[in-house]
Formats: sequence, C-alpha cells, structure tokens
Amino acid sequence: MSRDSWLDGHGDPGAATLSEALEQARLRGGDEIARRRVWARLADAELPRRLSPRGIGLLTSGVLLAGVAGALLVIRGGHPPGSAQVIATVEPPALAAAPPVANRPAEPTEIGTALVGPAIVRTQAGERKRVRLQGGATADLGANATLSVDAGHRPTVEQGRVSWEVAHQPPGDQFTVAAGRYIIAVVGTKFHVRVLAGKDVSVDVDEGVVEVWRGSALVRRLGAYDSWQSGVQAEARGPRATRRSGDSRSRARLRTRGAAPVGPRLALADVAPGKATSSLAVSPGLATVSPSPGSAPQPQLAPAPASSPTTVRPVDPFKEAQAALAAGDPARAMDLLASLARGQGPTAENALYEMGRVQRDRLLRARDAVRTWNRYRERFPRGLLRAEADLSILETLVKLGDDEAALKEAQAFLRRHPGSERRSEIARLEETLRRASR
Amino acid sequence: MKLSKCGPLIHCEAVIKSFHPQSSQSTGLAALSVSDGELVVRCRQGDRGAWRTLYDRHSACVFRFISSLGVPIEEREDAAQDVFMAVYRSLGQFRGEAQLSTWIYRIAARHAGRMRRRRRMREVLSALALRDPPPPPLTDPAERAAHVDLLDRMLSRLHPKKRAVFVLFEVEGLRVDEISQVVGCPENTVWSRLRHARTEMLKMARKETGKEVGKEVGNHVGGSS
Repeated sequence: MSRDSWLDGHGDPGAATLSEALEQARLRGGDEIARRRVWARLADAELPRRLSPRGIGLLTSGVLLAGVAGALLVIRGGHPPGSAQVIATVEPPALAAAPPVANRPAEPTEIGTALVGPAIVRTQAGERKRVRLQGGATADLGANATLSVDAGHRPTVEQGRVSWEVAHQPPGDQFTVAAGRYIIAVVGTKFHVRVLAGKDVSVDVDEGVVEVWRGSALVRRLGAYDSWQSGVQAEARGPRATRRSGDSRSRARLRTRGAAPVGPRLALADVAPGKATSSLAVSPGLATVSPSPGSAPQPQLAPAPASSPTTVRPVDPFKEAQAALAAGDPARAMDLLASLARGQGPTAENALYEMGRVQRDRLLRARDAVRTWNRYRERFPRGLLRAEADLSILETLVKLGDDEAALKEAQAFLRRHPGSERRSEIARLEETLRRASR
Repeated sequence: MKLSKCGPLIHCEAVIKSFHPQSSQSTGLAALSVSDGELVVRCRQGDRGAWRTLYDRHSACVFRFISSLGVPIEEREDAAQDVFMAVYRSLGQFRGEAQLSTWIYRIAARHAGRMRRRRRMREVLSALALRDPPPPPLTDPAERAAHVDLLDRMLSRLHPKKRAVFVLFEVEGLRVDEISQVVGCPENTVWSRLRHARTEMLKMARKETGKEVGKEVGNHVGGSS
C-alpha cells in the first residue's frame, strides 16, 4: 500500500496535486552544494570535546583528584611572582635507575595529566620531560629548559629548547607560545622553540615552507632544508642524511639567541601597528615568522599574569567577519576574509569563496566577485567549493548580461560536473543561452 | 600523546577525498555497512571519518526536514550546521534507545522551532518599527519543481505541531511511535494531529487547484500506517 493511500479514491485534482507534491518533497534532500558547504564549515568548526556533561563532570573530578595527587609532588620555592608552582623533576624509578645512554637522548618523563596553570616546569641537565597542556598540545622539554604556564594555560618558553606537538586548531584559533620577544602562533603542527636568552631568531625548516615577515613585509620564504637567521643572509642547507620520515607535515624549528629578557605576550589581534611583537604561524604547507620591526625588548622576567589585559586571546576571524556583515560593515568583513584566504585548507577556501559573495551581494561589485571566484578556481582547482564557485560565476555572468561568457561557463560546467544534480538546470540554461546567441 | 593523527593533513585529506568520488573509493568507512551505533561509538572516540559518514548519511534528511518545517533557504545552511553541531555535542548522551535518525529529527525539530520563534519575533519587531515587511523567502533553485513550492505554501499555513507530525509521517516516513518520540507527545495525539493535518492539507490543495472541498479524509487516516 502506498504511503499516499489516504489520498486515493478522492479522484480530484487537489488530491492528485497534493500526492505529487508530497512525492517531490520526499525526493528533496537539500542542494548537494549546500550540504558540501555545511560540511566544509563543520569540518572547520571547533567541534566540542567528545564528552557529555556527565563525562565532563568525571573529567573535572579526575583533574581535581590528579591535582590533589600532583600537589603532593610539588616543591615550592624559587618561582617568580604570580604564585606559579614549580613542578619538581619527576623521575620514574626506571628512568632514575638507568642514566641516559651516550649519543641517545633520554626518553622524556611524561606528566600524565594536562598541566594546569599557573605552573612552571623545569628540567635539569640530561633530563627531558613531556607535558600536556590545555588546548591539545604536548611540549617536550629538552635539558635545562624552563616552561611556564599562566592561569590562562598560556605557555611561555623561558629557557632552553622545547619541542611542540599541537593539535589542529579550529579556524581563527591559534595556539600560542611566547618565547623571548616573539610569539609563536600555530594552527597545528610540530615545531621547536629555543630560547637561549636572546633576541636573535633563526629558523631551520625541515619540511614545508616558511615565510619570515618583518612587520607587513616578507623577509624570506624558506623551503625545506633552508635556514634563516636574523641579521644574516639566508643560507641553504644541504639535504640532511637523516631526514625524518612518517610525518609529511611541515616542521619548522625556530631558535632565538641573544640576551633579551622575556617580553610581554600580546594578543595578535591586539597588537597595534608598529608595536607588534612577533608571530610564527605554521600550517601544513606554510609557516610565517614575523619579528617586530625594531621593537625594543620589554623588561619582564616573569610570564604575564593571567589578569594582564595583553594576554593572548584566540579569535575567530570567520565569526568576526560574519558579525561585521551582520553589522553592515562588509569592508571589515572583506579584510578579515582576505586574511583567512591567505592561509591554506578549507578555511582559506571558504574565505575566498565568501569574499566573492560579499563583493557581489553586499558591495554590489559583481565583476570583482567574478574575479575573486576565478582566483578561487586558480588556487583550488579541485576545491571543496569548486562547483559552487562555477555556479556563482555563471549566475553572476547571467545577471550581468554577459551571455557569451555565461554560455562558455555553462558549457564548461556541464563538462566539468557531469554528475551534478544541477546538471539539468544548467543544461536548460545553456540551451537558452545558445539560442540567444544565434 | 600523538596529536599528529588528527592533524590538518589527514583531516583535509578526508574532507577533500569525500568530495572527489574518484578518490573516495578507498574510504572504507563510507561503506553503508557501518551501523549508526558503530558510527556513534567511533565519533565519540574522535574518529573524524565516522563523523563525516554520519553527516553524509543524515544530512539530506536534515535538510529535507528543516525545509519542510519552513526554515527559509537563506537560513537552511546555518540551521543544518547548528543541528549537526548539536548532534555532535550530544553524542555522549545518545543512549541508543531510539534510532539515531529519530534522535537527530528531534534535535532538528527543536532547532527549527527555535528558528521559527525567532523569525516571528523579528517580524513582530519589524511591524512595530513600521519597517518594510521582510522579503518573501527565496526559492531553492534545486527545488524549483512547482509542486514543492505549493506544498511549502500549504504547510506554512498549518499549525507548527500539526506540520511537524504531517512532515514526519508523510514526507520523512517515520512511524507513529517514532514521531511521538520526536515531538514528545502520546501516539494518540500524533494520530489526531495527523488526521487534522491531512484534512487541512487536502482542503488547501483543493482550493489551490480551484476545486471545492470534498469529502473528509478522517476515515482514511490509518491507511498508510
């Protein structure tokens, strides 16, 4: 029996129409492109931790218990103001019994629970330690290293070499590490920070591409095996015999040398032009180092207190752009989207595509929108929103009355997307345009 | 702790693969053989591939459902995104007592209800501020089939409670016991709302097609169950 049997037997056009309408409604499932776009946003979105409130409660209890247990291991004294705790060197029996083998670094001691700030972790000579931080990051402290974490869980490399593994950050969010006068902001990668006591910066790239920026000027673009040091001509390193394998993501090593004290950490968004400190953004294929243009080191020996108004605060430019649009400020939205579009991955794709939409729908610059979408297609020829960009261009050209270009676009669309559910619609349009062009 | 496994490359690869059929053949997780329950378990473990599969499996239903509940096209993507964010956030609470789809429908229905109230509030405020009425909703170019437009027009005249039941039964094909879980009312109430909704819809359809109201359809209610 069909689902619409309740409509059978009426024998009037009304029932037939309703039956047909229901049939069509059952077939709709949202535009395929709209669904893709939503997925692109979901894939980029900051998905909440996979815990129910009950799980969060359990985790909180666990953290509290671990905190109590950890407190038994805490040795107080020698720490800077801010009531940060110094976590003592924790030597598990096996590690303590077996001294590090020569030419082979000792396995790091792992501190099990995520480090809760304020706290300071120090390592002694020949010691390594691994700590987990809030925000999905792991820090490996080399020998003689000091890492502090403030109450907002923001880490500062005070001394020595610390290697980081940072989980991919949601769009707009950046995991930041302060080191000397520099701020290293990452979206998810592995990198190394070394603070000997200094202001000079050197960058060694193992894989991927790194860009060194001074203010708004690009100083150097470094590829794999390239090195750069502030004040020194860049030199290309020869290929290493011991290239690391198993991780195709970019890795950048940043070292600072010199004698400048630890500077204040500033939110990247809060830094005024000319007062910028520095930043390093590392993405799968691109990392950026931005030392400040001649900024004098700020005398500050301790990490910024949690209440400091200049603490690092992650922002989501995409949300900001949406807010700017909602507030009727498309120019600001364009700025924010443009900065996102300079990046990589789905976020950049979304941003570049959205720029076209803002140009067409809000700024009423349809030609510019077409140019932007063309740029999208050049950058992301197999992008997530490729079909959408093609359709947007086509639609805009039709609106502009550029039938010739629209016809070419329609034909290209049909060739490029033979399986699209918009195919019949575009085929009809192509037919119309073709007839009009005769 | 190895964080690299959920790194951006793997993530992007999964996203991009899923949009390129020729490269998505290797994604075994996309196979239909994986049950919803297993997907939920994997999602809870942070498996992005499972999350993607779950989205693929249920996004069309969510889009269809919120469209039928009157979420305008310009708000549909946001609504679907919010629904799936809510789904992800609540996966830990999913006990498997109902089907996953039923549970997602419930979330979507609640969200659509919230959006409807918000829209109504905006309209009231616009009217109070003597602003121009909001423009008529756009038509989804993929849904330009005339009858769907007609159906949406008629559905918009139904009471939201009747509308939800009617859509869930007639369009989404849920059973009455499932609908009662989604809308949170007894099964008899579902039947009652469905009967009234059918009668009203048929009346409207006849009016739309220029016919006089015919005989009542109340006796046919159980026909398709």
